[in-house]
Amino acid sequence: MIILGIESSCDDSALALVIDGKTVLSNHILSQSQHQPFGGIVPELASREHLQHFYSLFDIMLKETHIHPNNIDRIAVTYGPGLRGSLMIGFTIAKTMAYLYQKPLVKINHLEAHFYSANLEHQVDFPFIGLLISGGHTLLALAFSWKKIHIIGTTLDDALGEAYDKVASLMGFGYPGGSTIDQLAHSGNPNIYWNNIPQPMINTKHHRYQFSYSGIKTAVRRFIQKNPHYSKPDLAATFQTKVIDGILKKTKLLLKDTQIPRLVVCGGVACNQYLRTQLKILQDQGLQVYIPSIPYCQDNAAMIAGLGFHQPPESLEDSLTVDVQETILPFHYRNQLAQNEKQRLQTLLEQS
Amino acid sequence: MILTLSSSFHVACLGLLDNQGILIEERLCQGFLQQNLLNTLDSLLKLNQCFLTELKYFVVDIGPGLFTSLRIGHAMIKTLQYWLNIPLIPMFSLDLIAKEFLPSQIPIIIAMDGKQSRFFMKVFYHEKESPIQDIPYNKTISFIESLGLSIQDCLWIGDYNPLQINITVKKWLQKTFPRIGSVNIQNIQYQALHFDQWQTFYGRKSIAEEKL
Repeated sequence: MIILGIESSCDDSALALVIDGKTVLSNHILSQSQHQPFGGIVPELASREHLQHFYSLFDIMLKETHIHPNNIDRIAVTYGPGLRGSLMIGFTIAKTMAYLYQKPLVKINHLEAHFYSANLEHQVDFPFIGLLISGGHTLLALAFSWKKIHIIGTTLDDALGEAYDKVASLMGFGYPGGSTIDQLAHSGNPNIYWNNIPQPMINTKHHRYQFSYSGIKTAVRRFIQKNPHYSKPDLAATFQTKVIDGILKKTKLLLKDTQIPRLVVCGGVACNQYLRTQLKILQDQGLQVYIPSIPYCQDNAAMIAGLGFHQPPESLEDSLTVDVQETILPFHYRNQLAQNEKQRLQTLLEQS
Repeated sequence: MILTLSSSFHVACLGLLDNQGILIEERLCQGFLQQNLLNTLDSLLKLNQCFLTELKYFVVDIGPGLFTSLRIGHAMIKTLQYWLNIPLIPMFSLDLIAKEFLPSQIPIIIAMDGKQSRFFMKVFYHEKESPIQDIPYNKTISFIESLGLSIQDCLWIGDYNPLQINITVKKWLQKTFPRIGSVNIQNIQYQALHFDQWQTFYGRKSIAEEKL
């Protein structure tokens, strides 16, 4: 089954063709660079660019594979979460193609698709614990199948990638600065400023699987204001060690609580070298760790098309009227997640 | 057969024309465009027993106007155009409003609320027309006077949402704007049948010309 994947949830326009959820025939991404001066994604600019990028991507895909939409079996598209304006461009294109060629449309949750990105190169068994860390999301999930993925913990404020970019900006680096912090941290000593920067959400009694990064951002800002002659590599190393160790601590807690020996780590921050080194240590200790290769860590359409193979399509009538859903984790739901964490986890495990 | 779409206003308009004029048109609320646009297109085609492949060209309103609605409309039309390879004729929204009132002996000023206390404005006067202006409310009078026109002698036509602008500007608009125009399918039909300098565009170079 040939599936066309369309992804436009943020600033990356992506198209992919995947056979049977595994074999990637074509996978292309056009990223947008015009957001750099603003220090973050400007939704209006992002949706404007998507409208131009997708038709170039179709040109590339047709040249590369010579597969016409007539020969495609399904169209899978991200319906959320993401920027509404951006989502609507990809979604409208997918709906129009589904209507034009009378192909089934599959709505894909962007977060679930990120977990699937590990399955494109490995054979991921169930159940597994998923850790998604990117510029827009930070969450822990428990997956029993590709149709049953439950969110166990999430960030109560900012995402980890967002915190990386903000700290890079405070240190005078451009956007996106996450990779700069990662590179700089290699040459720094994390112990120099260890007592100046707090570890985020260290209290595991009330927020056992939840995250928070607004506090550490403020701590870094105050530290820089008070110590203008600080060492950038040392501060980068301290920040990186604190946040990555913190996130791994909570992941290990969930692995221990569920007794599940499998971990999938995905999202843009999964490219982080320090995180990969730490995960290698866990792997050597006997944990099955699946991390996608770098191209599949960022937003891509291959993961959308891949997951589209496992999920049911909309009926032809419904596919004309479906809409995007920009928020899948509303704020009140995040707070609900933080309450009775253990009891909720126990119920899920019993139900499975 | 021509497919027309105008989605730069609060009410979007989708229609089918042939050489005799309008076959059918449907109006859609801007807030539900994503859900209803394809459905409506499907209904219009079925009612007229027409297939997408029978379309000769698309006529599309490219703004200025509500950019989310414009993009939803453009994404649909560009996708159809890309895969069916049907020519596309882009039209400015202000020209579409003006066509209802032209030719006119008196100067016509078309203004549209551009949010953030700005107007998109175009003036048609003495068989001439100004380029589309993106100017603040308080500069509009001086702009019109710079063209050698007096406000009292002009017919003001606006398409704006009075609820979304502040009270001072609203009072000013109520005094200044004698009538409010809105786009409809007749304008598009007029353009499609009488526009003598058709420019056809293919692929992604078409409505990327959108300037908001």
